Amino acid sequence: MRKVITVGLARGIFWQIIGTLVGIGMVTGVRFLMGLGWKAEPAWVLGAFVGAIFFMGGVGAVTDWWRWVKGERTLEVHEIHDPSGIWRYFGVSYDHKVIGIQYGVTSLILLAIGGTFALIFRTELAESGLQFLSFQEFNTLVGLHGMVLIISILLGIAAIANYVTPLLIGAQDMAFPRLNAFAYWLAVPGSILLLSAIFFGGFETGWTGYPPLSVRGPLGMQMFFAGVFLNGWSSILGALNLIATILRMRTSGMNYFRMPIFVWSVLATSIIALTATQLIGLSFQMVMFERIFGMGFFDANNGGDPILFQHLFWFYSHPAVYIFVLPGLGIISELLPVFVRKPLFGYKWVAMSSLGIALVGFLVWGHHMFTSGMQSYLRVPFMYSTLLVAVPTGIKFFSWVATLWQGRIRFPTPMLFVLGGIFVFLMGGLTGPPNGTVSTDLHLHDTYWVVGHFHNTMFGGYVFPLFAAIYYWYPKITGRRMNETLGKLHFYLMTPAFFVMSFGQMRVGLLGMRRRIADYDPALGFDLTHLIVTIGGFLIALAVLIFFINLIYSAKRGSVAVDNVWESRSPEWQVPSPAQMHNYPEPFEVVGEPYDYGLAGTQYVVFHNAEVSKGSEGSKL
Amino acid sequence: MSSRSSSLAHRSDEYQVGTNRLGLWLFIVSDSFVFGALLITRFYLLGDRRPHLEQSLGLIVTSVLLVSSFFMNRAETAIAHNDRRTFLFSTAMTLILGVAFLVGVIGFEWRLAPFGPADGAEGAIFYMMTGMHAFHVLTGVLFLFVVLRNGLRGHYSAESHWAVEAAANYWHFVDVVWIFFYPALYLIGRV
Amino acid sequence: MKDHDKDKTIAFRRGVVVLLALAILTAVEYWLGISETPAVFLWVVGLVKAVLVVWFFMHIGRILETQEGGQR
Ligand SMILES: [Cu+2]
Repeated sequence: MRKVITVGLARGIFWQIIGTLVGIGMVTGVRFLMGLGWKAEPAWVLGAFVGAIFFMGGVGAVTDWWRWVKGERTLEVHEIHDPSGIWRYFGVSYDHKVIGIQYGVTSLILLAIGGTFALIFRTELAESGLQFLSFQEFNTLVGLHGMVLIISILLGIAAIANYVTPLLIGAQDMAFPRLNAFAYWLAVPGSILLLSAIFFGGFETGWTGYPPLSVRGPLGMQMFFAGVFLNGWSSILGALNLIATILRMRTSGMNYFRMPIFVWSVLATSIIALTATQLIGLSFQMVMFERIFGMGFFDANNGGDPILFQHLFWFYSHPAVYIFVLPGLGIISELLPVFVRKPLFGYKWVAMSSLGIALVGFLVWGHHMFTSGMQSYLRVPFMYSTLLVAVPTGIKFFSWVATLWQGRIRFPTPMLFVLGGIFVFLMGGLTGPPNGTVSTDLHLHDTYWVVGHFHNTMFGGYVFPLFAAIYYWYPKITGRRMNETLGKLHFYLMTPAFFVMSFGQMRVGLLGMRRRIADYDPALGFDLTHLIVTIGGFLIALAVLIFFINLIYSAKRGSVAVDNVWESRSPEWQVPSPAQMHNYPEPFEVVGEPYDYGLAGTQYVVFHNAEVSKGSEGSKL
Repeated sequence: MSSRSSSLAHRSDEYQVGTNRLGLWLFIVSDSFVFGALLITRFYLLGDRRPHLEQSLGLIVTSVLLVSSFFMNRAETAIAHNDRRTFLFSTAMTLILGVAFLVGVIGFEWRLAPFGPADGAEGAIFYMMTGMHAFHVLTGVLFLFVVLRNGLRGHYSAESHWAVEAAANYWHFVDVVWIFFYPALYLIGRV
Repeated sequence: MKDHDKDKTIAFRRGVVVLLALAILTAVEYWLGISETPAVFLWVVGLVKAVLVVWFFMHIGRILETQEGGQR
């Protein structure tokens, strides 16, 4: 029991409850003094935010900053040595690798929760007619499935970026380790609030939260907004930290065009997350204020305009797609040369294409609004800018194909997921232009076709690369390999199941199935396809379950892999696994190109203790 | 060249301040998207209408904020040259002017405005923009209070005063936001 | 030490000059506003004021300066 109380997470949740009560008390007290009675909504909203602040205090994420405010000194980061053992993962740690694992576990928990929501409403949809969900429950599950998985993706990206980026660039840690911990822990109360929406009557809008419906819905809407708002700040601060780390913490010799390609994609992603995320936060905040204070931003009867919300919302939420996929595409480019044993084709072009996608991504948000009633002269410019995205994305595909060409390809599990990711993302890419073209989108908008399309982009751009990354870097984290048989089972079950599911979704969409609708007419004749889609969904869940079993099983029982298991040139594999605190015993120097696999006499990094033995050879740069 | 690699493990404090500087600028870039979006909201909903506001009060609070920025700059310059007296005096002046700005906006303008937050787009936009800005001023005031308190205890010197620089930069940023909000709310368009 | 004091005086004086410029621009802005001139003039004045603050008070040039001590 005493152990539990000393654990940061438990303290955080305890203080979150206290803080929520304090917030409720503050609103109610002020209203009482003004002669007003109890009102649930403002009380719970302030309770949510005060609770989150108390959580951050309780967990200990602001302790050092508070010491700075008091003018006291704190330990330098390289002086801190965490105790080993499992408990440090449940409290504040400044070690980027611990934070990476914390992000990763949180992300996988949310993945399981969000996926379960989908299984529930997929079961409802397996047959026409209403079986066991009410409309309200169905809508809540659909909306939460979307947003919980978006948060899961953001945290999953943060996990990989946090764990891997400092290792790849030869830094001891992130640029701002305290901010790093703060950003992670902010996501915990945020996610708790988001999930709590179920218990406050749910919400009906889907993950987009469009007014006017979101202005009228139950209190769950506010919890949804509050949860996303906090997670948004988590994402912003994490991105800020990553940019500063990449720009300032690189080891000597690592100029921009010798950075690992994954680092480029993290940089591009972080630029989007740093800036665009503010707009979803603001738009949600404005709806919250509209509900609490009656401010008429989006109420046409009160001087507002609901279309404005869509502009603000999609200014983030389209680029957000690139936040989700760019790191995944970076992982594909990063791992492909390792398993093909050939240099990455067109390194500079691939690096620049990430920035290009990020840049163009800011100019395309209107393609979500072709049917919204926005000014019609905006349609064609947004159509062209949207189709322009195909150019930098195409560069990545050319690079991958050319890298694979005539390679001596190996097929361990991570490579399977890399190849799977390429194929699935290709499907996502090919099904995109019909949505970006005005004439076809007017028919496809809000149908299951769109659902099928973006599940392809999310799986190809995030889920498959995520699994590839986990299978690939797992030995670096644990010193053990994940079980290959279970890994292959995972892959060969999930991939066909996924194609069945997403093509089924596209089929019913083309036949007229609308998104976010709990029921459909049996006369439309796609009951069977819906059933197959549901079965596909459950098979994916089974495959992910196998993955989870593998993940836990291999931590203790996996075959020991201390050395460079994948024969990678990357610096993190040149030192024994698992990676130690502060990453490298000696700094290394970059002396060559990162992906010159198969070229004799080339070297990417040189370690200084090795340099000493080789004399002056390593200090050429 | 070889001396560089040994500095890798523990980079100099000066280098860390440079990193902090970059971090703060990134935060400012991020935050300015909020204010930019509020400006867009204002012009999207109101176009060339503007809310009916007290012109003289607007000019006064704007001047107060600009003068506070002057003192903030003076405080930072002073501590960079180890002039503690000017540093403390100017920081205190900035703090007082910041509070005066808040009193002007929240205490007077919010009471004098002929509309509440629920009265049409004018009300929503006016209270949202001034409120969001005032929130940032308030956090800046708190930051300055911490700097002043630690300054009085003799914490900062010419060599080491990152906290002062950060507070100053944040304060100037809040000023820059108002440089755009003032014309957008008070001067552009017709009542 | 003399040089140091001179530096400080110059820096203080620069602050006064910037403040004067900002004051004049604000007066111009106010006049433009109440005489209902086209909005573009107000944007230009606002932009100039912002550049003055960002350049002289926020020292944006410093982020480029401190890149140099790095590990390039
Ligand atoms: Cu989009």
